[in-house]
Amino acid sequence: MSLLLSRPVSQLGAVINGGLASFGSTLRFTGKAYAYGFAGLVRPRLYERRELLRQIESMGGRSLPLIVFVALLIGAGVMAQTVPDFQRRGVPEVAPGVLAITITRFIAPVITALLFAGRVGASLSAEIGSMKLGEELDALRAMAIKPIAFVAAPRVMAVGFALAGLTIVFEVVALFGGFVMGVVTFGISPGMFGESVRRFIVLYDVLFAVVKAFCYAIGIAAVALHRGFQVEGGSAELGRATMGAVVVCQAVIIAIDLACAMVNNVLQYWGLVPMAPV
Amino acid sequence: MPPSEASLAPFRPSDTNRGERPVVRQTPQPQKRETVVRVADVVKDYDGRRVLDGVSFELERGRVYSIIGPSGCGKTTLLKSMLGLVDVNSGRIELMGVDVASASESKVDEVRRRIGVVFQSAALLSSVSVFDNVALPLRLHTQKQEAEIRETVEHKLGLVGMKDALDRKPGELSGGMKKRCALARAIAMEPDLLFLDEPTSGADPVTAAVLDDLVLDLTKRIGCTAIAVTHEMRTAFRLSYEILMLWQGRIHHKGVPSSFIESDDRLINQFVQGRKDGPLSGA
Repeated sequence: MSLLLSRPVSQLGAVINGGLASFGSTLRFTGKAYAYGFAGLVRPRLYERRELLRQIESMGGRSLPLIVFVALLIGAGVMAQTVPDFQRRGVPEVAPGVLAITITRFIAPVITALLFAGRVGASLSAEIGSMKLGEELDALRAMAIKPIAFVAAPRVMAVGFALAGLTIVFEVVALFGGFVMGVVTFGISPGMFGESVRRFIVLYDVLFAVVKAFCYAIGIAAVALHRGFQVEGGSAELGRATMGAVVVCQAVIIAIDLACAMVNNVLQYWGLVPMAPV
Repeated sequence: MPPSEASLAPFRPSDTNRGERPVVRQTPQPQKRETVVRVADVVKDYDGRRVLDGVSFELERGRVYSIIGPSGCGKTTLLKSMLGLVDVNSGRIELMGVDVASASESKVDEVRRRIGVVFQSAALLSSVSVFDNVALPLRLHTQKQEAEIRETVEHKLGLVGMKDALDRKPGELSGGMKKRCALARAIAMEPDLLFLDEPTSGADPVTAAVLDDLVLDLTKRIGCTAIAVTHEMRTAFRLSYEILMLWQGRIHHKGVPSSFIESDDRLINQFVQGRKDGPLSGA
């Protein structure tokens, strides 16, 4: 019996061991990348600052059309699916407020991060993996340039700035989509829409969404870049790493969102965060 | 002493791997002998397989050396070990007095700043222009202003005949052009040591000859020591003051090019003459 169990137990142990080692390695990598990222903001010779700007522009620009398109549809979609119920209950003025809460607190940060991970996370893994296979990272080390500082640091910083910016864009565009749907289809007046939004959300909600975006950014950057740096072999391994990065990024985003929501609830319970008056 | 043309007389034109008589070039004789590379008993295992098995040699300042050997014999591993890019199991690798196998990363980086490397794949950063590739070490390791950097980059690219490719991305260049740009990047910091991993692989014979001449001219001009890893015998003969043959993880023979041509060793003969039968192929 003990012999029968020893094999699966040892296999399980190996899997857990491997997982912990990978997690530890990702944490160390991410810590170093952010340390170099912040240090590079004041020490110009760690990486080129224009590379940081180029990455923000590239990541943001690459994702912007998709984010705007999806935000518009989601904003309009949420209104289309909630206003009839609120009208039936005689409180149509609540619908824009509910839209604002769901968009700012949950939908905008999460959907933006998921879309961003699919688009930018995959390309980051592929780009870094290609650099590794093409000996570009070795070439940097041979020039006494640290790849984590020169390649990873500007990208981890750029992921944060780009994702935070895109989250705000998503919120604004989604509210606009909901506004158009509410005003054009359901006859909600612009004044009522604005008043309802003001009654349901406060500036803290927007700021919290931005904070969440930075948290997701850490997860996306950690997974996507670390996977890229770990690529060994050839194009098949590169493809696997890219695909794996997207899947893990998406799971990490959902997990971070739950953690953020729990933290927010605790802060609310202790009365540490401002809330819209009831 | 390096070989003279006369010493190569017994060599037959059909004996080279390209069916041509090799041209053995000489580098200038430095006045004072100084060892800049000292490799002692280096051992490296990959997945339980011994790739380097007690490699030892010394190289002098101002010379050009080639490391030859069949594919997969560990040439690139040896080169990457010397750069500190691959950790070795044991042994010492002293570059300009610093043991890169045991020194701290910052100490190794100090040495790397005095080294130029041309990788087998050229390894230019694909996302930036040729200019930015060559300017990279200058921007990050020197206090030079942008105008001065531009001047240096244009000069180095001029030396390798790539001045017109300043604004092009590496993806727009041929293999030979990439190698030349990589060479420009490698010499941008006026290195004391120049490592070349298969400098002419993938290049046509004319481009290969141009690259060989470039390396010789540049090493003369900046007075550095160059180490080329290659399996192209013509390149080895053209460039080298001495050739080191790597076989089964050890230096099988180290000597001037003529010693390879005149050798009675079956292994050396098979490799130099490019024959399919012999100890290299298990025959």
